[in-house]
Amino acid sequence: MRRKDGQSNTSASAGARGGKTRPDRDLPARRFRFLPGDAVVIGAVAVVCVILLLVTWIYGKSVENRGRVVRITQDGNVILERNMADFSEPTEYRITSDSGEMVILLSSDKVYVKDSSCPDKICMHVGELKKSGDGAVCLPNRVVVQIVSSGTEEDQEVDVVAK
Amino acid sequence: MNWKKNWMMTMTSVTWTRKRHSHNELLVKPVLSISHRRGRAFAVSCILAFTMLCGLVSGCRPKTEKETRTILALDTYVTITAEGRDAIKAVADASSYIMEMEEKFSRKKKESEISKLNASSESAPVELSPETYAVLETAILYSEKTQGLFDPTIAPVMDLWGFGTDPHVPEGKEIEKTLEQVDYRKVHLISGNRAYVDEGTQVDLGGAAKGAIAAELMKRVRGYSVTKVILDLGGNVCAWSKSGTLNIGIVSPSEPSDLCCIYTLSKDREMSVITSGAYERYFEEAGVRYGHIMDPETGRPVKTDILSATVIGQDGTVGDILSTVLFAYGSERARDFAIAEGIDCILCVDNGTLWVSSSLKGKVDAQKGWTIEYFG
Repeated sequence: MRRKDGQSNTSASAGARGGKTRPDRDLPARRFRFLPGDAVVIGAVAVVCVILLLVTWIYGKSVENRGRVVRITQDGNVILERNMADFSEPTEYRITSDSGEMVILLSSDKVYVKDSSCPDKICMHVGELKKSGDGAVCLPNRVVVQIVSSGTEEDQEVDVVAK
Repeated sequence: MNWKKNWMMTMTSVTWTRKRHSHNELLVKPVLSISHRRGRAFAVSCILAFTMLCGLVSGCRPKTEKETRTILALDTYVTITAEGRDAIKAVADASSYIMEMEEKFSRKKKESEISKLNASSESAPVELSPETYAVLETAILYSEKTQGLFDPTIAPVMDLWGFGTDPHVPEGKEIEKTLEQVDYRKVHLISGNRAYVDEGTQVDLGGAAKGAIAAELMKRVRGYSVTKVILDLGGNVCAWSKSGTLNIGIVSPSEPSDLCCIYTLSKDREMSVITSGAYERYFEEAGVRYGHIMDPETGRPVKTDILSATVIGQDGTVGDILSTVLFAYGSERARDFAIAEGIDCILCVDNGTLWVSSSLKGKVDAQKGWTIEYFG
């Protein structure tokens, strides 16, 4: 076996250099001592790779599952921050302010201002909020409804929206 | 068995080379020369090592500081986003600046410069800060250029229609009467940053001021060590990214939860993207939709075939004025005006067409339901 390895090596790359300068029996001793170690290194690299890939994959999945988060602020204070997936049943959320009342419909795939006491209804005109970065603002009630990034910003289609 | 040895040799080639050299130089050579088998082994091990590296890199990527803050100011919401070493400091500084500007520009705040200007007279002109004066000067300049289609004194008509309070269609007589107050020629600029208005004239720099504020904010934030800045002043966007492009979506005026197109901002360019339309600020009465952009000629909402007009340019103040002007002109006249003035714009027309300046070719991607036609 040793001999065979030595030969294949010399024939593969070192050509005819082998035999004359060094006797064959000298070669294998040093060259192939590390054979078992090879397997260990390869195995270790493979295992580490697999572990790292699994870890990043699972992490990515968990981030994805966290999904979109709806955040509602009033006068700059967060009054609701929930994962949209929590709203498998569409839920109405009522907010009262000094100047009136707002009804926000929360569901797992979209959020929108269903009703508002404000005069201009701009918050209702912006329509359904679906993507991270979407937002509706009601100035008279001082309420901001936003869908905030879930952390995987690479997935975001755009960085900002002009309107 | 040979492949294993090759593996080992490749993986630890540096040590091997050194160790072996003293014994026998011949044995060093196989490590460096790559045969078919070695080549394969080398490639595979490289891929593995690379994968591992990628795993490590994505796992322990250094976090760049990122800060986003939304504040209700300037009669709208303002979102400031910055990335980079000093992002938090930069955003905090910018936020306090906005509050300062709010005091200057708001027509509704008694102590604001605009309120003082509106209370001024020929015998008692007011001295304005250079920022406010510059915006007013630009506003008047474009009022002249557009023969009054843009008019910073339109506010009383807006009030009459009840925007922001109680939207309704006013009586024709009321409109006629209020229109007497509207005329940009009743705003007088005098040297030394001073100005005054004729009696009854109400200046509101509303939109135009946002552009100027955005420009100043940008300057401040970029004074810190940051790599990316995105300012969103109630939909008026001003953005810059040191490395890498930015995708700026433009809302679809017919379906405001969708986009009509995406504009790609090249790296290290600072641009304002400003859209005017009546798809958000409007009200309906007896089945008719009334938008908030008023025609100073008639005192009624402008009639236009444009759903929204977006101006892309370096000067946000001008962009803000021009997007309103283009919207009011209607697509045909808007295109002529854009060509004559060299304006880069995107006009959403109510038949699903996006008229895009040919200078923006390759930077605008139409979204579902919209088709691009270049002009100019």
